[in-house]
Amino acid sequence: MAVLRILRYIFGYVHFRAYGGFAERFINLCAKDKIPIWDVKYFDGGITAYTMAAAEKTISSAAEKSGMIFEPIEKKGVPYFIKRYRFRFGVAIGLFLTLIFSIILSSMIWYVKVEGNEELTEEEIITELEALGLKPGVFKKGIDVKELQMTMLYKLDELSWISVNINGSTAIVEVRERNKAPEIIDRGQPSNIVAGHDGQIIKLEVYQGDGMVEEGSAVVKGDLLISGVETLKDGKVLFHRARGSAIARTERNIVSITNNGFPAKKRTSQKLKYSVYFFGIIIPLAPSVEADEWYKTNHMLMSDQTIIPVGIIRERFTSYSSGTLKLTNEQLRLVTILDFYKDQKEKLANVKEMKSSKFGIESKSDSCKLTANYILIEEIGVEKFFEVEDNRKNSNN
Amino acid sequence: MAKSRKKGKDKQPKTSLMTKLATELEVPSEILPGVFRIELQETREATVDGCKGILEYKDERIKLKLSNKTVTFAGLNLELKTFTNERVIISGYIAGIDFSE
Repeated sequence: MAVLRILRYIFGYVHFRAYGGFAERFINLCAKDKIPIWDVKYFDGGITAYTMAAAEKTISSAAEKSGMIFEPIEKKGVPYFIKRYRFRFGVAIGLFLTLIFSIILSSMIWYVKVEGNEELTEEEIITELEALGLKPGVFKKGIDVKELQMTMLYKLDELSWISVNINGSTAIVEVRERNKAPEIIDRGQPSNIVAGHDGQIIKLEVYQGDGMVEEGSAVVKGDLLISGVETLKDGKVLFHRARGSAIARTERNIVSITNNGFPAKKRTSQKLKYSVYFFGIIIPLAPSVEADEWYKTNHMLMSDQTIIPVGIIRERFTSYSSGTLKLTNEQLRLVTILDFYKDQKEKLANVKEMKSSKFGIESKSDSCKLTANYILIEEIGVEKFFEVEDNRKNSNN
Repeated sequence: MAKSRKKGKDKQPKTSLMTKLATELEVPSEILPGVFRIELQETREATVDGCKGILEYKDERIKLKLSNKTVTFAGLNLELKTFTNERVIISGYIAGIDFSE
């Protein structure tokens, strides 16, 4: 029924009144002449009904033949709308421009969406795509998808596969990144494993080479733990890359000193600049400003999940002056503790177990010192490569 | 007596030839010419196929000409929804339907 109503509106219809004659004859004549009438209602002396706009003339003659007076009450639909506004050129031009505008906009790319990237950032991919001509505001017809895909694979070595799908006004770029080849361990250069810290060896595991210390023995930094040099029974010497693990009980101290008076930047000025973004065209509303820091945010129109490339670009220009910042004792302590924890995390990364720890903090007006003493169980083995001179070549020469 | 019984038999309504044909051929009767069909939707709407014309049109009575009969719909606020291709749709409150030759 809704479809019928829409069709009737498109083709136009007339609500009319017919009176003064023979209503039955009028209805019969309409049926005979195939004039569509509907919603026929009786009133004393006549009828009211609807007919199509195209049948208005023929229905008048049917009314005349049946002795009735035909009188339109209301005319509705597109033909009457057009007739009513036929001299309003502004409306016609507006409609025409809207149509043209819609056709042009629907043939453009509005939004580029990147999917499937892991290591590569979306910005990196979009920057490359923009350089190759795929960006909001370009015409869909001007994009050679195959060429673009090939060039992207050539330009971004990290990509193993790319697919550009243009769906409506959105370009969906699906990518797959290349699996990195595992790092090849160079087994050619011989090495020893030496102690990285002073300590007492608790466990020594030798995978390749000769173990040089016993479990329970004390070592100092630089002592040879696993040797890559192997002497055979016949006196020949073989050089290996030593591999193994040396777990030791160690004592470590970490000291963190923070002096008061930090180099700091003070904000001297901040200016905002707005620009209008319209399908890749940027119209600045103010001149650019020289500044130490520049920050840009885009505020684009959104419809559902689609970004429409029309919006406002907001740029913030900030200038700073250099200075020194003095902290209060509490602030200084806090900064020292934060620095200390950062240091501790880095230095004790290989620790297996922390047996005990002692902390001490010393605050002065111009500095703060935090000391820590640890008893640890940790891996102390550090690989140290060495060069081997080939005497055979020298003797041959 | 026997004569009067015979007369009583004659008074039974005759089935039209087309209806008989439709029954024998097992086809819908409305596709054959001269056969009318009335479909009621409760007492709110009646669809009449095979209407040859309108004999009377008022909001409490609509009389239609069928092939060999006339049908009168009586009721309240009766109106003609459509009249195309021998099909008439009557809506309103239908209180009664009466057939006559």
